[in-house]
Amino acid sequence: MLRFFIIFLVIQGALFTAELTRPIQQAIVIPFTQSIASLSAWLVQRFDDGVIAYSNIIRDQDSGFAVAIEAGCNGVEATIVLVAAMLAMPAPWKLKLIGIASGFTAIQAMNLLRIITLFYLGQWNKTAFDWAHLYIWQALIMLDVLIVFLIWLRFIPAKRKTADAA
Amino acid sequence: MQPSPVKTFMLKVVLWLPICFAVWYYMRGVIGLPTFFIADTLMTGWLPDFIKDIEFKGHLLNVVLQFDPPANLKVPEGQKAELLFSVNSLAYGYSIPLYTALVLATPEEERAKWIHWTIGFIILVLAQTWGVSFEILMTLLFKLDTAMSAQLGFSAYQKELVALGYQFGYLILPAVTPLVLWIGFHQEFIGELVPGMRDRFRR
Repeated sequence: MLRFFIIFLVIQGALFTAELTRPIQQAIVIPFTQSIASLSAWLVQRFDDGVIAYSNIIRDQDSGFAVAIEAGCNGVEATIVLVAAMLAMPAPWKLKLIGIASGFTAIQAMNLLRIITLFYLGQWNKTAFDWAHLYIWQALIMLDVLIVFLIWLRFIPAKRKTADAA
Repeated sequence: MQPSPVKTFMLKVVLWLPICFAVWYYMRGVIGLPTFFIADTLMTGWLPDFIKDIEFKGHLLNVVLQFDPPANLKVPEGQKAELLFSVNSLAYGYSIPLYTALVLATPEEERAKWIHWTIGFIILVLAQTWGVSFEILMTLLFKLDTAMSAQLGFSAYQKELVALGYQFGYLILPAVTPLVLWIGFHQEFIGELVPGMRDRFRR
């Protein structure tokens, strides 16, 4: 367990520091965040055509209310935590890659739900928006990470007792 | 058919979560006290010439600064300029209700629950203090007039470290710490959720 935690913390620290560097921000994080904003707006437009997206902002044309998707709102940090946990676990590489891909999808699906609910909560009530934004959704996204990790653990093949057999 | 143990556990967590959030919010004036005391002692002790006082109001830490006034600000001769800004300590403390819900949803003896929760709470208070302290530093260095923040005498490298510490304290620590604590304290239960888990960790 100690080995797992040490590797987990090292990978997580490295990925998080890398995420904050300018080249990674320019090449990956900012374009990714903008695509999250566009995808959120596209999803909302399926049932609400008064919504537009530009850069990392989603705006309601009628009320003028807008949300900007910033660091911490794009699911990148939650993904980093999950990736670090999966890489730190002794498991076959194929399973790690499958876990990372499905975990990324699960986190981003939850994050899209978060952005869309926050967008409408903000138009309804500022206090509810702040609560959901700063506290509730942060906790729910991390629960999502924990669920994905626990489910993924069940797929790791049990250790073969070769030493016992010998 | 037996429901999946992971599903049952998560259902319990989701049921506990709103209760824990409600208690945490209504008790914020008490729960936030340790963070306030530590942050106050650290920051006023470290930068006594700049941070005059930190007050605790509800969940806000009101930081009172004193500075040599910049040229464009007129204050009576011999006096320093004062400035106040607030830090929302709850933004770094949502890990407490999350961890509490995880502990309450985990089946274990009452005594073990209390011990795990208390140790976890102490660590989460330290993580919250990290976040609050780095937000104070970040505000001093990056949000004030450059002439005022220059009085702190931080090098460019130190400023980068403060920026990294702030981001880490805001984005990672409150999110990761409760999960790490819960996994660390409840390996036996995780072994029940995931059969063969102990062997996998031992590899």
